[in-house]
Order: sequence, then structure tokens, then C-alpha cells
Amino acid sequence: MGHVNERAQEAFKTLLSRYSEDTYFYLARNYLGKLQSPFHKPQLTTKLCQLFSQESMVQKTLSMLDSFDQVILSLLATFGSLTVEQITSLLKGTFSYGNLLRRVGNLQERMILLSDAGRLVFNPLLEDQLLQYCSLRPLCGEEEHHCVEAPYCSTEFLRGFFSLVAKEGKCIYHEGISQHFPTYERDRLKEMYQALGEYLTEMGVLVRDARRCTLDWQKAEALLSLSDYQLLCLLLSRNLEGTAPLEFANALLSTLQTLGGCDTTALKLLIKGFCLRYQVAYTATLLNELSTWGVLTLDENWQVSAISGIQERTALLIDSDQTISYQGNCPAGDILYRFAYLEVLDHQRTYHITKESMLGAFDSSLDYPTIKEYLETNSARGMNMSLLKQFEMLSERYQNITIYDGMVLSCDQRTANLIHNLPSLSEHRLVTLSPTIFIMRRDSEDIWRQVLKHAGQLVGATKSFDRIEILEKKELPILRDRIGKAKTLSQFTPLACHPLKPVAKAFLDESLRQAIAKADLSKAEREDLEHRFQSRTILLPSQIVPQVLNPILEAGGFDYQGKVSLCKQAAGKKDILLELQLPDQELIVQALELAFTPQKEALLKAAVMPSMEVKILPVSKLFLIRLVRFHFA
Amino acid sequence: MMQDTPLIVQSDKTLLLDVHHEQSEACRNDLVRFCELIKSPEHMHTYALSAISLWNASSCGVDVSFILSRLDYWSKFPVPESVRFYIEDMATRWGKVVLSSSDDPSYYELWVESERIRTELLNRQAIAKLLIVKDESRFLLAAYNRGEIKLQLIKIGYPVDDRIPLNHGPLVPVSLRDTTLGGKPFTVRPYQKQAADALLGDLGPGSGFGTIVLPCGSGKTVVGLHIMERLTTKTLIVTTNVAAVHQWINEILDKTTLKKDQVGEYTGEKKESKEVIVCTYQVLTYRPDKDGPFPHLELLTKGNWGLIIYDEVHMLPAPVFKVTAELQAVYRVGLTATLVREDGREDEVFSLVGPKRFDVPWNELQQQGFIAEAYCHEVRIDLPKEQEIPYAIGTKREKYRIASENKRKLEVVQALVDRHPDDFILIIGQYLDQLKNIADHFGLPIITGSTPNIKREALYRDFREGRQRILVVSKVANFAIDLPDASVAIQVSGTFGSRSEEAQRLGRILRPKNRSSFFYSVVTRYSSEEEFAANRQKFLAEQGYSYEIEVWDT
Repeated sequence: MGHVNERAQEAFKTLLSRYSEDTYFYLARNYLGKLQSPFHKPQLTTKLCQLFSQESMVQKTLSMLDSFDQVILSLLATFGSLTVEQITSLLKGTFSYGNLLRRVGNLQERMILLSDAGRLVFNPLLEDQLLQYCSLRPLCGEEEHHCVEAPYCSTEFLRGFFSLVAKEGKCIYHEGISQHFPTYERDRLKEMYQALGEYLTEMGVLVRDARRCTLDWQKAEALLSLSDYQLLCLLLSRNLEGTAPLEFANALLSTLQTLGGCDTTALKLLIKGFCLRYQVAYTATLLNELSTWGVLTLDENWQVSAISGIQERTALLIDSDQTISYQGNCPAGDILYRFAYLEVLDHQRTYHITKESMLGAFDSSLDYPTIKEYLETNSARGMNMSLLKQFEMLSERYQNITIYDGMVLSCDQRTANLIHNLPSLSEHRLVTLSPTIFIMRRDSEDIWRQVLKHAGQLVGATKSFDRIEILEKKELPILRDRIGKAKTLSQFTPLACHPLKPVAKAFLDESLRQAIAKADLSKAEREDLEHRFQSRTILLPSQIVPQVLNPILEAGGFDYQGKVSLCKQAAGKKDILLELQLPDQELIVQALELAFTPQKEALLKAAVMPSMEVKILPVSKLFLIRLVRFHFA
Repeated sequence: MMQDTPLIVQSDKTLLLDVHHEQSEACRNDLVRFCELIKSPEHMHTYALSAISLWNASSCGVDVSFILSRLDYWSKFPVPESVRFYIEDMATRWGKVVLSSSDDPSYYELWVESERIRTELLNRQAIAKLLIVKDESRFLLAAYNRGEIKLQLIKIGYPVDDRIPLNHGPLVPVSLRDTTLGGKPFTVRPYQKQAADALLGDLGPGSGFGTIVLPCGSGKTVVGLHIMERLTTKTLIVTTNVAAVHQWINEILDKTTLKKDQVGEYTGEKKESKEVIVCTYQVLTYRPDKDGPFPHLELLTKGNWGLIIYDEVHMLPAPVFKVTAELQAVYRVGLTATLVREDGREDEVFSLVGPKRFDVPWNELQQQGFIAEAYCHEVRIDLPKEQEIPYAIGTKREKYRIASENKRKLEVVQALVDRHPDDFILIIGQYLDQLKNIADHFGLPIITGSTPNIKREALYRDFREGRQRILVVSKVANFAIDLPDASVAIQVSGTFGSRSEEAQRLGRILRPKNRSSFFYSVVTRYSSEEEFAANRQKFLAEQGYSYEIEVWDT
């Protein structure tokens, strides 16, 4: 098969070369037939590689895929390489434990999955073709869903939130808040509002003291430079611990967008699966987080909100009652929310300019010329000159008084010359009141004192301790880092909902069955071949040779010796499990050892999977014992 | 998902109409059938769906499917589910509680559609005490509780479908003239006719009462006269002051076929008994002592009226509210320009007099030339130096007064009067000392609450007939005074932040004429008056008026 590239072949060989002798020869014998000693492993590996590179072999392997295989393959395609334990853990709600172990083992026997240091990966020689059978539906249910137009924590919501915090000087949810966000369901809004308040405080975007809450506009701007999608990723990754929380959020969000909706089982599967993939610690609160930020809404099933945020903001409609409205999403750097208060966030976003909103903007260093230019540039139908005049007058009035928070420095002419001319001093000067009287910065008192001393001035030794408490701006490298990462986040490409190729009903090649029946074989050899044929590991006539790879696989009823023999065979082997049928239950165990009572009764000491609880079981009480080869490595 | 249509339906049940869209007019024609106009500035008009607007629509035969289909048709975005639900829930409540006549004329019969509503009614004490259980779905109600039960049921979200026909009252033939007594051609304008149609409907159950909102100067009186013509019955008109009473009487005599002996006045000065009476709210609510009865309220209740017109209905005083609740069998009309009460009791007014039946944006009538084009200016001046300290240390009220009575306003008034040498000018204010100063300074006549009615009438007449070009008036001229030629109003002070007062004062100069009108509000810069002025201007700003600010260095 020409298109199988060398890299895939090399990868196949490398993986196979790491297998234990037992496993390796088990597989080699199955696919290559009887092996002649002395064994030349590299040659055998090359033969296996050639075999699985043949188009006919590939097609035969693929034709035998069934819907259960598809679930496991889709799981690996979505969440990357997984251990057997991880697979059984992820799917335990949907399939029985024993069944899962058998099927995962079977996929390894069929060399569809290979083990890579204990984690299962696609056979590199088949990977491209296998991926075509993978999709989200086998994992998340066959029911069709579509994303719904539902409100979520968007950048537009964030703008409105900032505007309201600036207006109220606090970020506490109250009933009046819901009037501003009529599309948001009240309880959800309350949750979102509070969570946002907490998170933004942690991030230092909101600065709170006992009396009021203010905004660090620079950080707010940084957050608003994100797209809706990136913002949600950032919010979802808020409480996650691990190596790649943002990537986790990206994968989860993107997959949910593709699905449009799912039930709780599927949702938990996705969360847990991506937690494994991105090494993020799973927390049960993640489901709540998805709901809090508006990504999901529960309506029988979970409905996913369509995250768009790409519709550009229309030009502003500025009415004489000082309302400003638009549709769509403001671009990064849009300043409307800084000088106007949110009225309503709906299809039409409406803000209102008031004296207080303008003064707030001036306080946050947004000057009138900037506001004027913004309004003139963005107004849909020309700017109302009367309104501009009003704002201009307000600005003039605002500038009539300036309050400095600083320290008065009165000095002689010589020192004044230094302050005027020495850049290292003048940068700490807020204003010059007279040629020898200055207001110096309070927060850099230590520095300018040092500079003065250094310049040879006698500076009073007592520092000003009567400081006004200045709210410390938190500098959080994590915030910068996360916003930076979120900004460069490109959307994860999830599997499609439906596979490119559907699995047909797996069929067994009757000609092979007949060949086995006609072959000159002992009973044991025939039984073993029959078993392997049923397990879909006999694909070619060349595999039908007289040999026994699995001496006994099952013993039950009055075949006490058979049962004892199986227990002996499995004892101490980590790649073999025993499936036990007791009067009232079925157990999957790892056989630890077999012991006998003085009355010669065989007792099996076994660890019950997956809890690994150790039990002593009399073999005579076991109706049926079945040997399961589950781990190939 | 997005259509090129003029309407946006928001989740808070407001509807935003882009007035620049080519189909906005057609859309508006649909909206007015089931929405209320909230504001109409220059670009985006706001309508709202409310329980009352939907019940009103239902009572006029506008059903849910029509409303939803029109919204689907006009809306740019899909109509939110919550709004659909609200419309279906509210509109279908109409007709679930029906009031009709019973065999006993002193009782009415109240029918409820379901056991659930019945239980709800009986569990509410205020309602249950009014009802006598007749059978599983019917109650008896004393006839005099007709208004009260409606009020109570509206409070719990059930409108009463009142199928008891209104009393027609004694017949008083009246028709409108083609030419007024003054010799001018006269016709009812299309919107005035539409307003009357909206109120009267087919004169069947559910119609014949309500409120009509039209801008100042657009001819609300004519709407009243047209309704009188349609009902031809004994009519009581209640208005705000004696001058307005006289104005109504003059209009009735000038524009209808009624004769002087048919139209009377019921005021503090004169108490006539005629087929058509015009009275004031003051006389109805007058009482000799604080806790005593209102002797003249009987005029309302015992006058056997077929029609009551409440002029400037937003001014309806509380005692009249109560009586109005008892007058549910009478055709009744509320007229106003400003659907705002500073006390926020609009809903009560409209549930008693009747819901808003007609409204039209101010700027639309301005564009059609039915009201004058008006330019609003806010002139800002500084306080004189000697007033700065008293202002700084004054209480809030003192501050406002000092700013309002700023002496420099006199210079502004002078300059504005000079600016308009050919206009008829009203100088309007709140504080009598200030107004007297202005009047003395310019040698102008002044009208205040203490000016005798005869003198007032004479001064208004001189103004109307061109003998007096400038009048100084207090708040007595805020409402209902028709001075057709006034084209400039200079407001030197006002009642704090009253939005309706500002609009009504502007209304004094909105009668259409062959020149533009100018409204000046003179405000002290850097004072609390600026803030009150901003609040006062809100209503007009919502109608699309914008104030040009001038800063004067006097």
C-alpha cells in the first residue's frame, strides 16, 4: 500500500519492538502463522508491517469494525491516547466493565490499537483510515442537537457589566440589574454576575475596598480585546489546576459547539476525557461553570449556546435623549462603555450618557477630545451638535478644579533649579505651584528623597508617615499570561458529529470458517482457531495453521480440573484476567495465586477489578471461568 | 436570521422602530394597534407591549395571531420566546372575566371562565368581599362596585370585559360647523378623527372610554368636540383653571352648533346648570374644611352625564380618582399631551378613565405642519459675584431659588426680547417676585394666580388680538391656555425638574403658524438649576427635541 508512509511504518515497528516477548510472539504467531526458530524479530516485525500495509489487509480489518469498536476508537480520537483503565473509567456508565475490557483487549489483538508505554494509540499504519470512522455521536448519543441562541457571558455582557460597576461603584447583584439584561434568566444572571465579580476581583480588574469598587480600565481593556470564544475559554479555565487549562476549555467549548447539545452522561464524558487529555484535575464544579457562564442551558438535555460574537457593531444611533444604541459587537478598544451607562443589553444594545457617566470617564483619564472624536466618527447620522456642546461644557467645568494627591515641597532657588532641570527629579513632580513650591508624587517619595540627597541637598530625615491609603493595584502575572494565551488561542478542531465512513455490520468471512472446518487440525487447534476467528483476528487463509495460542479459554460446570487449570494459567499474569461467574454475581478479577486447603480444595486469591479488592474464592463455587487477554504490551 | 425590516423586538417587551427605514410608517400603523408609544426621539422610537395595551387590542378584536404575525413580519430578529409567551398569556386573559347585566338592575353579573380564576378571586379578600356567589362560574356584584371590581381585578392581572353598554345619557344634538363663528373654515384633521375613532370604536361594549395623547397645540379640544358630536349627549368637561374653562366654552360656541344657553360654567365664580358644563378640578375638589366632604363632587356623580371629558388628565387629583371609579357607566375621555406624572400614578389614571387609545409622535405632527416647528435653547449665565457665597452655603432649596432668581436673567430676557422684535412672547416663571421684577422692569402686564379672572381674560384677549405683544405669566399659564400667535417662550424659572411642565410650556408656542417657534430656558450656570433643567428636558428630548446650549457672559 503505497500511501502508507515510512514514518508510520517506523512508528509501527518501534511500538511493536517494545512489546513483551509473550505478547509479541502471540501476535506474530497469530498473523504470520507458525514461526520457525531461531526467531529473527526485526524480520518478523517487518513482515507484520508489510502485512498491515497491504490494502487488502487494511480493508479486511476495517470491514470488521463494529459500533462498539467505533465508540472506543472515537474515544481515543477525541481524547488522545488513554490507558485501559482510563477507557473503562470513561465508559463505565455506558458499558459493563467486563465487556469493555474484552473489547479493548480485542482491538489490541486485532492490532487496531497498539500499546505505547501503557497507553493505547491507533496502529500508525491504519490511523488515517480509522479516523474516518470516528465521530462524536458514538460518544455523545445519536440524537441531533443544534446550538441555541441563548445569552452567555460575552464581551458585550462584560462591557455592560463594567459600565454598571462604574455607575454603581459596586459589583453586587440586585433586582435592578436584571432590567439591563432582559434576555438573561434571572437566576442565571445573578450567578454569572456574582461569579464575574469574584473572578475579576481575583484578577485585579476590579479593585474593592470597604466602601466601593473601582475598575482598572487597562485590565478591563485587555479582557475586552478577547473574542467571545476566547473570553469564555478564559472564564472556564478559571478554577482549573493543571498544565493546560485554557487548551482544555478550548477543546471542550469547541466540541460542545459542534455537538449543539447532549445529555449529562455525555457531558461528563467530555469533561473527564478532556481533563485526561490536557492533564487538568477534574472537578465536579466544571459542569456548574459551564452553566454559570451561559455555555449550557438545561432543558431536558443540555443545550449549547451558539457562541458567535463576530457580527461587527453597527454605527451608533445617537438620539437627543442621550441614548446611544447599536447592534452587534463592539471592536476591541471601543470606549462607549467607559463614558455611558448601560441601559439594555439585547439585540439592540442601548447606553445612556449622563453627567455622572461623563465625569466617571474623565476621572478614568478619558478626555473629552477622545470622546468627541469617537462620537463623531461612529455616529450613523451625524452628531447632534447640541449634545456635543453639552459634553464640551461639562468637560470644561470638570477641568476647572484639579485635585492632586501629593506632597508639597517648598525649597530654595538652588533646589528648585534641580527639580526643574534634573529629569530624575522632575519626573516625580506633579505640578509647579510657584517657582520654588512644587507638589511631588507621594508614591515615589523614597526615590525623590534619595535623588535630592544624592544631589547634595540636606533633606529632613523624617518621612511623611501620614499617608493616605492608596488602593494597591494588583499586578498578577497569571492574569497577563492567561489573557495573552487566550488571545492567541485558535479554535480547537473537534471531531465531526458524524463519521466520514459509517461502520457496516461486521461480517465474518465464511470461506475462512469453512477453511478452518476443513483443515487438518487437532481438536484443541480447531477450537483455538475457531475462537480467534470469532474474535476477528483470523483474516487470511495463511493464518490457518495447526497451532494453539490460547490453550484453554473457558471452563465451567463439572470441569473442576479445567477451572483449576485456567486459574493456574492466569495466576500472577497482569495481562490476563479471569471472568468469573458466581451464583449471584459476575466478577472480573486478576488472579494473584492459587492455593489448596488440606482437603485439596482449590482456593483462588484474586483482586476484583477495578477496585482491586482482594478476595479468596473457592474454585468449586465458580460456575464458569473465562480467560480474558486484556493487556497487550 | 436577520431581515431588512424596521423593527427590533427586545426581550423586555420594548419594540424599537428605526424611523429612517422606508417601511417604518407601515410598521408603526400596525404597532399602534397593540403597543404604547414610550418615546420618539429623532432616530429610534420606542414602543412597549403592556398588559393594558394587549387587553385594549383584544377588546378591539386584535387577536394574538394577528399581533404575532405582524411582529414576525416586521421584526429584524426572531421574536423572543418570552415575548411570545407574554403576548399569548396576556392577550388571552381578555374575555376570561366578563361583566354583564343581570335580572336585577341593582346588580351586575360577573362570569369567570375557569375554576382556577374563581378560586383566585375568592381567595383575595379585597375582591371576595365585593362578590356574591351565584353558581360555579357566576357572581353577583352590586352595581356601584363596577369600578372597584375592575380596579381590583386589573391589579391581579385580569381585565374585566365590561359588556354592560355605557349609558347614552340625555340627548343633546350637536354638530361641528364647517365655518367657525369667527368666519374661518373648519374641518377635523385626520389624526383628530382617528383619535376619536380609536376611542369610540363601534360604541359597543369595551369602547367609549380611554385617554388620547396628542402634543400641545395639536388640537385636543377639537378631538373632544368631535367626540361630543358623535355622542350627542349631555357633557361635562373638567379642566385645570377658569381661563381654560372660558377657552373651552369659546371653542364650543365657535366650532359647534351649540348655543350660549346650552353651555355653562361651573367654577368658584359661577355655578350654572346647562346641557354642557365646563368646570375646574379645583371646584370639584374644594372643601370648606380639611376633613369635610367635597360639596361639588356631586356635580360629577349626580349630573346624569352622558360624556365626561377630563382635560389635561395627567393632572387628575386624587379625590376625582375615586369618584371616577364610580362613573363606569359614562362615556369618558382623558386628554393630555404629557403622559407623565411626577408622582408615578399614570397607571391609576388610565385604569379609571381608560387606557391610552391614541398617541402620535410629536415630530410627526411637526413634519406634517400640524404643530409649529420649535427650536429649543438653553441659555446659561453665571451668578452675580455677590450671590456666589449665599449660593454656596444655602440649603438645596435655597440654592435652587437663588439660581432661579438670578438677577442676570433680566439682561438675558432683554436680549431675547430684542432678538425677536416681531414675535409674540411669553415670559414664564415660577417665582412671583422674579416675575414682578421682570414685569416692572419692562413695564409689562403680569398674570399670576392672584390676578382676577376678568383681568386675566382681558390680558389673554389683548395678547390674542395683537394689542399686547409680551406677557409675563406664572405657572397658571402652564396648561390649557390657547394663545395661538405666541411664538417665543422665555422660561426664567420652573418647578424643579418637572418634565411635564417643560413640555406644557413649550406647548404654549406650538400652535401652527407661518413662523418657527423658539423656546428659551434661562438657567444659572454651575448651579443645581442646570441639573433640574436637564431633568425637565427629558420628556421633550424623548420626543426628539434637542436644546442648543448658549453660554452668555452678561
